[in-house]
Amino acid sequence: MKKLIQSLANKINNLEKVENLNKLKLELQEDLHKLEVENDVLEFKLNRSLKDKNILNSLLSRTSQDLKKVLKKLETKADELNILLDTIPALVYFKDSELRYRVTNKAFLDFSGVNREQVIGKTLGEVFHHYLPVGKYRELEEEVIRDGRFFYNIEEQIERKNKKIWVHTNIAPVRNGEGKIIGLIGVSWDITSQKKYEQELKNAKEIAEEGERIKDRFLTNMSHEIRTPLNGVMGMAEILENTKLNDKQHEYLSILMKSGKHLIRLIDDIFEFSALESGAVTLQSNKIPLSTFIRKLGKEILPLARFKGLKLKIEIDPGIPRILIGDEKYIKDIFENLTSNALKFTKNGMVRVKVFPVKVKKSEDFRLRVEVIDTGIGIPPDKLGRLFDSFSQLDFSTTKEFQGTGLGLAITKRLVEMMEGEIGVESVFGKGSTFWVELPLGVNKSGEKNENDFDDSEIVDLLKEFRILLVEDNLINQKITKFNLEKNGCKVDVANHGKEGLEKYMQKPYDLILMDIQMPVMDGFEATRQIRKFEKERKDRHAFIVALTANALEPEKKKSKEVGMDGFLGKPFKPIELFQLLHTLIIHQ
Amino acid sequence: MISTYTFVAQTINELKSELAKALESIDFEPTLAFSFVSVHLPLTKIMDVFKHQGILLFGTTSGGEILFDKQQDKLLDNGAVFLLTDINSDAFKLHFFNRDNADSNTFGKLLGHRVKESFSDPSIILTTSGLSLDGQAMVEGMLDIVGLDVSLFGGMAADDGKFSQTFVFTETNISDNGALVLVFDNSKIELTGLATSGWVSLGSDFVVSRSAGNIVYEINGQPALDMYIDYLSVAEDDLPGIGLEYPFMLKQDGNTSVIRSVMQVDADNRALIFAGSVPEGSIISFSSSPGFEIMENTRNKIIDFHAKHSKVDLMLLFSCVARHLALGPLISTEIKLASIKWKVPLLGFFTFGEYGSNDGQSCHFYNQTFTLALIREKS
Repeated sequence: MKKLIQSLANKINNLEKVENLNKLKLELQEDLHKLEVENDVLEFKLNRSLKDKNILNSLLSRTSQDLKKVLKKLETKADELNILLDTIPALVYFKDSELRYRVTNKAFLDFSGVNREQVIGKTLGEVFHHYLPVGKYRELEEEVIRDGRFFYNIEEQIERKNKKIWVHTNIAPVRNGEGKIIGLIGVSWDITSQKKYEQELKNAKEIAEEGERIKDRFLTNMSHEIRTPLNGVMGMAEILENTKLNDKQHEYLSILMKSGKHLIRLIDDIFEFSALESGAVTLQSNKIPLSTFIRKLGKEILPLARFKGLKLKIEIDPGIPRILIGDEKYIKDIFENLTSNALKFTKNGMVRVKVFPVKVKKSEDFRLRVEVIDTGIGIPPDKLGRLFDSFSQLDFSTTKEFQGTGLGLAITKRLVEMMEGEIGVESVFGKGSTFWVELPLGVNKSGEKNENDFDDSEIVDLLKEFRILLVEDNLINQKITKFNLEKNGCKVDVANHGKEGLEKYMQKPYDLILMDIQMPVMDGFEATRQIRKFEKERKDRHAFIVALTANALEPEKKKSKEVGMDGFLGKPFKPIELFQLLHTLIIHQ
Repeated sequence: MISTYTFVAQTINELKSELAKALESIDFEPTLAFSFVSVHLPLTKIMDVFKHQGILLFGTTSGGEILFDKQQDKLLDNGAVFLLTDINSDAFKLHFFNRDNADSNTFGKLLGHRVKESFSDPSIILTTSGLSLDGQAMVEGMLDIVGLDVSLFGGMAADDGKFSQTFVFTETNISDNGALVLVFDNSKIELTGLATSGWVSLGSDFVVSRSAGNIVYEINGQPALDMYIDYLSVAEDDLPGIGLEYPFMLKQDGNTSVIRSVMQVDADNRALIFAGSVPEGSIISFSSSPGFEIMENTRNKIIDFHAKHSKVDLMLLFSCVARHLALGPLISTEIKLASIKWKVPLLGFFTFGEYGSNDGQSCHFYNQTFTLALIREKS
């Protein structure tokens, strides 16, 4: 356009020089037309720009309102977040990747005794150089920034007034939208009161454990105190049984022994239950010739069945492996509890015991099922649920009628559970019950002979050669034990306490020492220690030492092993139990 | 090579006399005529003229008519432009469709099937009529059947900015809710082209809160019509016209975007109806022509494209009405660039939307573009 105007100006300035006016007129008309076109374009551009400007102004103004609203919202949100942050009952802080504080909450400032200006932009060392183990924290925080690790730390710190407190701190990396670590967030709690509570709990636990130990000691003493006279009563009764008695005397003695045995059973139940409850029982792995084992147990309870006029039938599946591995004593207890229970509650008919294998569960070698089926009184359906609870004979009337502590089934259930087996009952009230257990057992694959598979007569012959020293302070027990052993052909010397026993052994070798535990002058544990020490020095002596005590609890058994005893027999004991134990010891020797 | 003859007419009588003059002077037998006509003209009479001459007619109403060739550079309002060709009848098929009640995508599929039946290797010139059509949904339906790599160019009929009724027509049929599909046999006729926009985003982004196809009910939780009025301070009556000048830019995956112009207003539902789909949840912003530099975009694109495709017999231009509004008298400069470069007749119209693609891409529905289709008979 400028060019056009310039051209027009030139033409006007040179008008006097124009020769052909018509040509000039045409040129000027053309220029004017061009100017009109240019003007149209400019006018359009102007209008267009104005329209655009109005639209843009409106859009800008409206967007600006939106932005203000958003800003206001963000401010409110930020205020809310700050309030929340300051309300958190923990010390919260954010540090940038150079480990400089960027955000701290009120709890942090209050705790630290500094104001925000003293913290923001500063490092830990710059703010807390005289309080905290800066080096350790710095190292951990650098790890968080470098590796993106989370960590927590618990340590005792010193507050500004030199007050010691416990602090738990969690630190996590903070990442931006692209996943880059831009800093870390830390949250700390004062856990001093929690620590104090922990200490109180620890103290309480120690007190409780001490209480437990006192209880154990009490039970041990009780066990000793009850069993010792009972041992005397039963021993003397057995001696009496071997004397000449008239029928009346025999009858009275029989009642006396029956009552005594019942009392022993009750005491055994109570102590066994106590041991189970306290977790003091540990399972042994014995090789058990199951068929022989069950038949023997059957023989033992047969007299009771006959006495009650009941049939006892034992069916053993021939598919059961010859030797199984489990805790012989407790399997025996389970079997005895179930069968004697069945006999106890059956007046007429029979008790049938079925023993057979069932399908193993995951990772088991073998699963044995024992069913004890009786034609007894049965159990009402509403009572089945609490049958295996402690002290749970169905009612006091049954306790009176059938006697017992009511612990038999509870003990059985705990034993079965310890062996990771199952127990159950099906019953028709008035018609009879079936008690069953399933026990996972090991299978002896080596086929070696069972240690308990012994011949009574063989061992008795062997014992005739044995020199036995009985160390026992209780005169009645001395008499009973000596009587029983000598009756079986053994040669027995007696010592009245541990010291005397030790002296006798130092003078003369013995093959077996039966050692009481609780004795005056020197107890059985100490005597055993001294004997073993003596043997170690002499190098040519060794005697089996079997603890012979009324203290039939697990801690005592454990201690007897520790001091060097070879076995453990609870008083009162039957000679057969001693022979069986000796047989095992001789095989292992 | 396709022989061509072009002329303009403002009345039916002028059409008759120009056509008679043409038929006397040309040395070829016209088989197919292109006609872009103002909706003011008597369309059925135009149809009758060509029917009488036995010439197939590809006709569409426009928002301004374009004819550039050696003799003339014409941009008409309320006129008509014509191009006679002697394209071999074996090389093309012309199909006319009424959409009736079909949805846009189904309609596209119907068209696609007819295209497929026409030639094994087709290319397509397409014009559509009707203001409620969702151009994008229709194209997608069509490409579902024909394949994504088909060459397709065309435009959406206009009605001189009245937003009332647009038409497509042949010498025998006319529809205000239909389509004209000119299918070329790609082995005989080469169809290439380009589409260029240049519109830029204005202001912040918004989320389409509620929409169905090409109907948008809510933007950022606000009724769409109210939102448009509120943000641009325009009157309700300014729509949908102002919507062509200040359309929405729809952000797509991969940093691409398309322009969506308002075609209709649903005042009862406070909704805006667009010429193409606007999916719910999508991000949009207002947009505008950045000014006269959009011509620079077009110029560069034309130069690049000419370097690859210099030989053509004729050109069809589908340029958005909004470009005319944005560039005013300078719109002819943009068109002249193409005309000068190829030096063959260029016939076109200002549209309510364009169908087109760029090299290596599949066809889309656009607004605000300069879409040029180049046609050449293969030797």
